[in-house]
Amino acid sequence: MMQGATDALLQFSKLVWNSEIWRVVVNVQHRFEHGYEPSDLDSLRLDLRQLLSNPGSRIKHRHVGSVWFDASVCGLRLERTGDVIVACGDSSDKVLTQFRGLVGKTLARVDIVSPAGDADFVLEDGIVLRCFAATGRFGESWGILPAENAAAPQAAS
Amino acid sequence: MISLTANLLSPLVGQIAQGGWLGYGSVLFLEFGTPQPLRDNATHASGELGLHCDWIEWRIEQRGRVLAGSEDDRPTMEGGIKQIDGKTFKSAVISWPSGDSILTFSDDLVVRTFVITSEEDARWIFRDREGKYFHLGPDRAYAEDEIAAQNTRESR
Repeated sequence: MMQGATDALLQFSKLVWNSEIWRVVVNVQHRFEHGYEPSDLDSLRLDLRQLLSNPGSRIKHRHVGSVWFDASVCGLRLERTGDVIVACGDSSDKVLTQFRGLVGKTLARVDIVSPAGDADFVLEDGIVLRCFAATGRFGESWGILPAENAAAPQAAS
Repeated sequence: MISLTANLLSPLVGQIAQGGWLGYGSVLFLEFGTPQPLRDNATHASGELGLHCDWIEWRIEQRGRVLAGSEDDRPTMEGGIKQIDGKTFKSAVISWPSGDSILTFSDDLVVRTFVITSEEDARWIFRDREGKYFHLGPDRAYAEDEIAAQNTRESR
């Protein structure tokens, strides 16, 4: 990925900056063979929303979009001030427990590095979700899905 | 942060990579120096020195271009590893505490690794000229026979 594409992606990512993670979707793949039954993180999605500034309204938030990660083509690691909280190759129990803890956290910004598109998703409390692209196929490791109708408000939940 | 183990890779500085290969899955084996005759049932010739690591994702880059990554298809991975052949090892940086590393070679070739476990020992395993193995992590390094000795002690 060239620098221009990185800059464009960085600009696009600002859509989800300063948003709250209201839902975390974790898919774990289980594979069964004779004598071998591995389970691995398959994909991760963070659904994000922003608080609306109309205090009297029943509608409190608007869904701004989602960030998805395909763990089959990237490495993922959750860290706090440099210490590893969980990595994508960890046990399923640990993966589920730790990623569940992202609900309610605020995504402050995204840092993206060329040429592969490695990205640091910087959250509050010194938490960083690191994504390492393990393929030369740009755009397959992670991406941002804007809400279908990002302007539509979301009822408080 | 540069760890002590970066210095332990100093015997590789100036060595020419030759005969690197792809193991089971996406395990990257780097070989250095003159390839040695095949031994026993080995399918790949070892170099005079060797380096490999499990529990990582890796990527080979050159001049701002990704040549291959550990989740590419096998021909792409093997093609990328082939590009390391003939390059001279220049430096290694292993970050602490993650264990991520950056290996640089001549001709602007770079191998980046990313550790994907916090539960397993994801260290570079370095094989010296005598065929001894050393586990190199961001915090410490130790010879393989130390593990065997420790296991023996624990089993008593």
